[in-house]
Amino acid sequence: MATDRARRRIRGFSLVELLVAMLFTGLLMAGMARVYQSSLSSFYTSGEVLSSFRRNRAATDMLYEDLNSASMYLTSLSAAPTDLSETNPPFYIIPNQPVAGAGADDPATADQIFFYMDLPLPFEGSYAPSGAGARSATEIIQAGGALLASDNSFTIECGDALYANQVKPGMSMIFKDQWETGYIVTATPSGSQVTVTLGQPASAQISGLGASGAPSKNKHITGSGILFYRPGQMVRYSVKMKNLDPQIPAGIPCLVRDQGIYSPAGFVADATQESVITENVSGFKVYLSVDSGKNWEGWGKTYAGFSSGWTNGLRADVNARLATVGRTDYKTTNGVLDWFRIVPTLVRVDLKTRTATKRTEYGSSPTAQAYQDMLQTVVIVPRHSGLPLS
Amino acid sequence: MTRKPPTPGDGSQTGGITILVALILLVLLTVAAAGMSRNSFREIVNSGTVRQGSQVRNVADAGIEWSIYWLDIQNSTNAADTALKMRTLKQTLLQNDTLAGFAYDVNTQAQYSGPPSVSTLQPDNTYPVVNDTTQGFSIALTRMGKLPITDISQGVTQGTFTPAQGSESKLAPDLWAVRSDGQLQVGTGTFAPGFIHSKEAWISTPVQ
Repeated sequence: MATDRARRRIRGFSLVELLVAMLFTGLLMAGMARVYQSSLSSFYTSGEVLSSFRRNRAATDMLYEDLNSASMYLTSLSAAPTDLSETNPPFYIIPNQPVAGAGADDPATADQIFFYMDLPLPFEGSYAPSGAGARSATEIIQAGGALLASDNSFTIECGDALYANQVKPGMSMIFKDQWETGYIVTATPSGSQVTVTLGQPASAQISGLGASGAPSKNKHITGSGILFYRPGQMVRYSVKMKNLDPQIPAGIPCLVRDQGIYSPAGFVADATQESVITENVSGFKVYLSVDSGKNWEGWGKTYAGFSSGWTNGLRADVNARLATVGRTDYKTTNGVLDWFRIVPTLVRVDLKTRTATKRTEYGSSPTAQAYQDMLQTVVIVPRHSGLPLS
Repeated sequence: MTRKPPTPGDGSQTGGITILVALILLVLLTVAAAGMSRNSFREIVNSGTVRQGSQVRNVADAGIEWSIYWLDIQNSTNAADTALKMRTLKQTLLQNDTLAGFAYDVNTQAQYSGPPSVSTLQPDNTYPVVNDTTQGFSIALTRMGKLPITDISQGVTQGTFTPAQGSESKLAPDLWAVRSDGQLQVGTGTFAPGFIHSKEAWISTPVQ
């Protein structure tokens, strides 16, 4: 008996037992694989959607900040620069512009928005007079400050050599103790300081004239803030195909910000100033409203190009709306180049970004691959819109 | 009755390999799950950072709007707390030309040396703590003299906006630079993550 029990104990599994065990194991593994695949899928898709959302949010934030400075004139506060032209207005939109090189999955057209501004540098200096002639604030005030024609050289403490090196001829600066602008003819950095020579603006027609003659040192207080800025800048937001990924030779549609000094003949981008705001853009549309958002001009319209899309398209629609709802002084945008500063205008930007990868998870059917789009809208009355100073 | 010790080849030990395989699978699954959750958490943290960055930008914006309101003499007659300090600072700067061009802290009335710690922000410039997140703004004011515009006035009473007769020195609006430092902090303590966004707006006010 004991021998039989021992033999049974060491006999092992029968074939049937093994097959049944393997069948159950297989079923279990198949189930686990489905769960694993599903969790992998949701891991990838949620990551991609989050990433798309993050890019979209960061891009709309940047656009909001930029657009808020549209039509900011720092040199001539009350008058538009004299060289502004209808060929390159200080604010305009070219709707439905073809995106060069776009593939079948990319946006075929997108809007372009252009606006003029004086662009401050992202730091502030302080007036640091040195050598003979430097006086205390009290002495300056008491003396009343005599204007000297040769008094056109200023030393500015920028706080860091990196900042001092950013100050270049062609920029302008503003004294913050009393608004006075100066056009920088020469700039010589030395450590954290920069010594600038101010003079007559070489491009006063496009940047505004500002104060006539060089500012006087005697009028300004030692240590007062100095703001540097690039005068007469034109900014463009558009969708471009950029070769960011070697595995996608056709390029990726990106929202790109271009900048260049204003030219009355048309927008000229400075290649060194180009910056990609966000990648994988699937739509970029801009609309205007002059009746507090009740009607959005450009909505659903297919007109395109500068002449048909802007002058006789979107702007004409704005004029038609103003003719019926505009206040007495604002019945049209015609005849005023910088109407954007006079007529309170709501700007709406619809930015659509997509996931980086096409997946069946985003498709309309189980086998169709597609991108997942994310649309975000910015609605803003830029700070300098509807604030005439004349 | 004594229990017989197991001998090699005993059937009671054949399940050992099953446990081993199950353990290996369990370890593999745990590692995979841990890796996935780590990446997921990273995404969530990243998007949270963007959200908080955006939030603190809005807080800085709120500081600018707050200043626009309280710089207006019509509104500041009812000022209290920090708004009252804003009115006092404005008067101090207007009465002393030598103070122009420098940023002054509205709260301390001294020259501004950067944003204070979140814990010292004024209650009326701070939002209620939500989800352990503290947010608020600090304001610095710079007198920038007068707007370089002649023969214009925003008027001295509410509602007036007419081209004025006179000279710049008498009628041009006063010009101010308002710096708003928005701050947001999640949690408390040394390692609590903090966000700062600075904004500056130049604002003109009617002559007073």
